[in-house]
Amino acid sequence: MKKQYAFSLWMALFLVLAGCSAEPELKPNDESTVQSVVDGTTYPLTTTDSFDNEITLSEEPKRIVSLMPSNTEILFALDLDESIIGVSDFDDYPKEAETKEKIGGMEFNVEAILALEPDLVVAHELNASAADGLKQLRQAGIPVYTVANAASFDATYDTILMLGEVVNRTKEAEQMVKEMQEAVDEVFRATEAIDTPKRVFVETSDLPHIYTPGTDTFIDEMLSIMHAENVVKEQGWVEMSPEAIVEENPDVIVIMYDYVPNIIEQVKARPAFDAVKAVQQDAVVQVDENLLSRQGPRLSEGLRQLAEAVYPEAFHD
Amino acid sequence: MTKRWSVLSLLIGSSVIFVIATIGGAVRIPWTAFLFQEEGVYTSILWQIRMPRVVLAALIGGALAISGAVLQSLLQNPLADPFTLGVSSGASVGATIAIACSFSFLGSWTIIGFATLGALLAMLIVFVLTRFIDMQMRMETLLLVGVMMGAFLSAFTSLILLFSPDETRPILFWLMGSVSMKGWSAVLIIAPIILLLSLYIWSQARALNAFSLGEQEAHIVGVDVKRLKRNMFIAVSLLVGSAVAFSGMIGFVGLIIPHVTRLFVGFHHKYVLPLSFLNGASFLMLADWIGRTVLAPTELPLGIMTSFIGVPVFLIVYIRLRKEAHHA
Repeated sequence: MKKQYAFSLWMALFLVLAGCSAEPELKPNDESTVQSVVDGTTYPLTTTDSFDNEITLSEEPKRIVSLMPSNTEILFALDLDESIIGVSDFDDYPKEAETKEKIGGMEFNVEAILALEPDLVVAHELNASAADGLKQLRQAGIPVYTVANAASFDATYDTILMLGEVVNRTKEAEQMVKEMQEAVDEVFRATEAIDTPKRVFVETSDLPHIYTPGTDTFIDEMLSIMHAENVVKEQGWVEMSPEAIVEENPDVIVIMYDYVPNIIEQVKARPAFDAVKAVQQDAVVQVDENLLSRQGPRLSEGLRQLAEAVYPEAFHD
Repeated sequence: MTKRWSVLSLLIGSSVIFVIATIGGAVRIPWTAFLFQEEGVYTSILWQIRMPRVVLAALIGGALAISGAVLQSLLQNPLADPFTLGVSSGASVGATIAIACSFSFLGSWTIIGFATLGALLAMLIVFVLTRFIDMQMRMETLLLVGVMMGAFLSAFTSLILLFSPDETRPILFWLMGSVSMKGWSAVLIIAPIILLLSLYIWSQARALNAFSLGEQEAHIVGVDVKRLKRNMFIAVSLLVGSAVAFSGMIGFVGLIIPHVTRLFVGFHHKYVLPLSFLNGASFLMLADWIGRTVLAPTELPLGIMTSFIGVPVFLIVYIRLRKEAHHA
């Protein structure tokens, strides 16, 4: 239970930064179009990551350390099981990730990473808080590839393709992106016929401070893909007063955290919530937050899960 | 300012604040919601979220203020506040343990239950320890033991906090104090406790007057000093313990409100006690209202708001009345 709360906190932080990534400390390249990659990668490879840092790999990396669960999931899905030698404390998918050496959480342990002698470290924009650590790794001669925080499906596809190129798995990366796009399209088509979009409220933390994703967030994009309406019209990740939630009267309440036992009943029992349509129609649902916040291959699965929670009738026939 | 005027203005002030706090907030409630007939979200918000919240703030504020007033008299120390006796630290240890270990035996009442247990245990320990050290249970001893207990338990709370990195945020939120979303059930439980204890304390106004001259002096005048100390101590501990168990650590109220009240109505406990309660109630309703309105939808924690608002208000009142006293 403790670990899961840490996940939610981290994912919330993740997505908060995704929402306010308008002016991040590091500025990523402006190439957000889905690029096509060369068939297979040739080494030695010199490339730049999302933050214009130049990386040189003399050969295909065989000792990879990943500092973020989303990247770990991508790398594992690119068939790199044997090459991954270190992961962060929060990595729990796939199961094999839990058997790998742990190198710390948000404050990753530089010494532990160096001791593993990696030939590639894959970092994430949110690791920038430990920029000193990343600098130390670079000074020790280890290539550090930092991906930008993806706040949309397209940006996620970019990340996957870029990583695929770096580790010589371009075909697998393209396949992954294709499968994700198909899954997303399926959700879009399944919900196309709906004439009145349902009004949805997503919460990522419990009282006394309820946080929710507003416009310009990944969740918001997902809701528009599935033809649902986000009741929150403010930009980015905002706190919402329970009074305001009752006033908005959403049709569906989606709970995106699991650190509170029995949360669905607790939400229904909140004072004044019995006046909310979602509670009256028994439409308070809980979804797996990891599926929705890790910018990796399971994102389309998360979208599907969310869509089924909001429009169960559109998916069960 | 005559006493009559003071009392009247305080009563009116409280009512005004009550109305403002009920109407104002993150969501603007239309006046029609006050009519019972209408169903719908605004009625629900008003009667099930807003109203219990404001009433709870009033009760807690009153409880803390009257406790502070009594302790300042009992300990003959103007810097005494409800948290001096260590009971509140006991409550915070209880609550912190409940949050850190994710207990949920009593459902939504778990944290409050544990906090109450912690408060009662702290009270018991302070009581027993004082008795053990000093047969007569003099106030100085009580104060010393209470402060020591408070320090120890606070350190304990910090320790638990250190070892619970995953639960740090909920623990800190609890410690900063909140009256939000407790519902009528919480109010209905704590209201009789607070009101009965406060009325009891008020009934001892005369004895407390004598006590403020000193323990010996009170004894000479005929006050059963030992009994008064014991009863007052228990009453205050129960008041503070329950207040903190329900709403976390809300500082400043118990310390400053009695002083402000005395500036208006003098030192007679017949007036100081009930009006401290009233002022404490108004102050906390005001602090809560501002905390949830100023940066809506973000809610600033109550414990922070009381200090932010309280300090300038106190300074203004103090300087004003000091000036009046000078000119008089």
